[in-house]
Amino acid sequence: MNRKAPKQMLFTLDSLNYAIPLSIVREVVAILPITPLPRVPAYYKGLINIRGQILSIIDLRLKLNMKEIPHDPKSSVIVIVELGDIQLGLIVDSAKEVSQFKEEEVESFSKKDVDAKHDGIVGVAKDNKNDQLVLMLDLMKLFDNSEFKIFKSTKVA
Amino acid sequence: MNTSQQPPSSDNNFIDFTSEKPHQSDSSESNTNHAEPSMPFDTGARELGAPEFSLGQQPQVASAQSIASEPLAQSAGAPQAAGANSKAKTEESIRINLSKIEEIQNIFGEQIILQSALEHYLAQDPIDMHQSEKILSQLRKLSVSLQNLIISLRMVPVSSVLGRLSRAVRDVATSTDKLVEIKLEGGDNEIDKNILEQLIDPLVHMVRNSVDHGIEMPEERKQKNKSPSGTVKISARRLGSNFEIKISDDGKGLSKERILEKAHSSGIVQRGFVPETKDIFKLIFASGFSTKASTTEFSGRGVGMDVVQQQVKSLKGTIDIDSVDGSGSTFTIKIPLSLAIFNGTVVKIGEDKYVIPNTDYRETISLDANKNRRSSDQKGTIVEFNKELMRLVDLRDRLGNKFTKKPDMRNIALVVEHENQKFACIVSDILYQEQIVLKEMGPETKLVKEATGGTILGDGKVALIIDLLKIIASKGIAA
Repeated sequence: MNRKAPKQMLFTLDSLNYAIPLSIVREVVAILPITPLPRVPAYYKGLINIRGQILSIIDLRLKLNMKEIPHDPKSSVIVIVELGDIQLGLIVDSAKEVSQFKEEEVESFSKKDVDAKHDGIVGVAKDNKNDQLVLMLDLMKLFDNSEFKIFKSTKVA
Repeated sequence: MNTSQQPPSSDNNFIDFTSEKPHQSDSSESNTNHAEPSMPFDTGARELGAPEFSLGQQPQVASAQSIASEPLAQSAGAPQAAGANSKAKTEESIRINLSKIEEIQNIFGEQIILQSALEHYLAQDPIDMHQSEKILSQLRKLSVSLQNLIISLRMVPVSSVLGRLSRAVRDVATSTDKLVEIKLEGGDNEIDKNILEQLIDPLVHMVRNSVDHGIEMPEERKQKNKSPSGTVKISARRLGSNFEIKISDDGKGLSKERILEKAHSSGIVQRGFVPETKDIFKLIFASGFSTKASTTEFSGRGVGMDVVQQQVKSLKGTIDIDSVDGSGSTFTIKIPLSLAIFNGTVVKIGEDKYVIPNTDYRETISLDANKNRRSSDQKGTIVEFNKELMRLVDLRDRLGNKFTKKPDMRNIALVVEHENQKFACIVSDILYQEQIVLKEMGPETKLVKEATGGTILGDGKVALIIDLLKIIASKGIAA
């Protein structure tokens, strides 16, 4: 029997496939009205009200230095993730299925390979079923170098 | 509880809601194991053939529009349950009258019935607008009573600490051989539990001081024609949205001379300078005023009063002293009833709505470029209003997103006083006032330094609560 890596949730950004560990995904919701914040980085879109709870929203496109596009209400969704004790909503172009890659399908990047610009992408998986490549995203690494300095002091479970 | 037209499973659904998390993780596990296409959110009611009364649909799905595509629905359960475990906050408990819980259950049940009815009328073709609107207004009324109930859950009667205070009084009285009578007043008044808890230590401290330093020994009292037994009175009452707690005694009162002497010798007040009476009493709040020596030989109230004041201030409250030499002193603490709910003004700055607590500003004014003269110095613009000079702070520069400044003739401003200087804070518009419920926000929101918190307005959108004093105190804001 092949050993399997933890389950991943797949989503797309700019027609690229990304994956984050399913264990940090709390829920997926449609785009809700966002209250913008003054003088914050462009990728920090603002706050939403989700069942009476206030949640910060990150535009993952902007965070990954992609072009900003108007969100398509039919496909764009907010993926709510839990990073340590912080909850964030990430806007992605579309949410896809949950996958579980075999160990040999995943190629981890060593530290040397990764350019500072590509921070957060820790590996690539070959999705043979759908004949596509999936970029493995480490959200803690992605936010570590940014204005969200607060992440540095929080522990990850 | 629920009346007619309910599918037989309605009680189960109710329980499902309360035990939502474990239930979901169960169902998602079974989903992944057996790869069944059923979705965890979609429970009983639909299959019972009563789609218009879909009680089984959990309220959270209805409001949040969770994406129910199969793979995601499968995934949604497990991490949610994991999240619940990892988020073990400090467990605190509160005693709640059972009748209040029953009342909430009743309202909730009613709400579910109305929701079903609303769904029923909305599903009709054509939609029965008249009935729907009627139900909506009923739902609104229910929400208001539910809100009030939930607010009241946080409130506890002051009497719950008055007991502790009288014990403190008795303890000190016994150990100092004094005779003290305790009077409690207004113990039925309710106050936010968190606030009351943070007030306990300062209050205990103050009543101890009253007995220890205020009340005289029985013989001394007789000489002064007072009854041998002294009185410490603790009274609590509601004053609008504030709460007032008074601690008064009929002891010897504060001695101005001794306080001043102490203040001079410890260097808090320059020698030779004599402040006004009220200000002299306030000296006992100065940090460093109290020393060990003062508790034994000096009969003022120096012991840790600075700590008491700090605590009261951190609760957004004030503390005042009134004292008559020879006949006693009164300490008055005023604090807001609840920090979680306050009256706020919703303003528009640029295109966005912000909330400003009503207690943070004095008045609103309308500035007219023709009538109100302006001049500027190196720090910014100063405007004259009613023969008073105010420094202009344009909040639109600071908070307005995509705000393009054009010279405007009229401005609406909120007046704030800070360090004896008035500031006119310009906003785009003042919209309305409402009761603001403070909401918790994640640590990442600290990035917005102007905000003290967030709230959800009537339209369901999030708005930031801004701290005008902080904006004024920070550098480079002058317009």
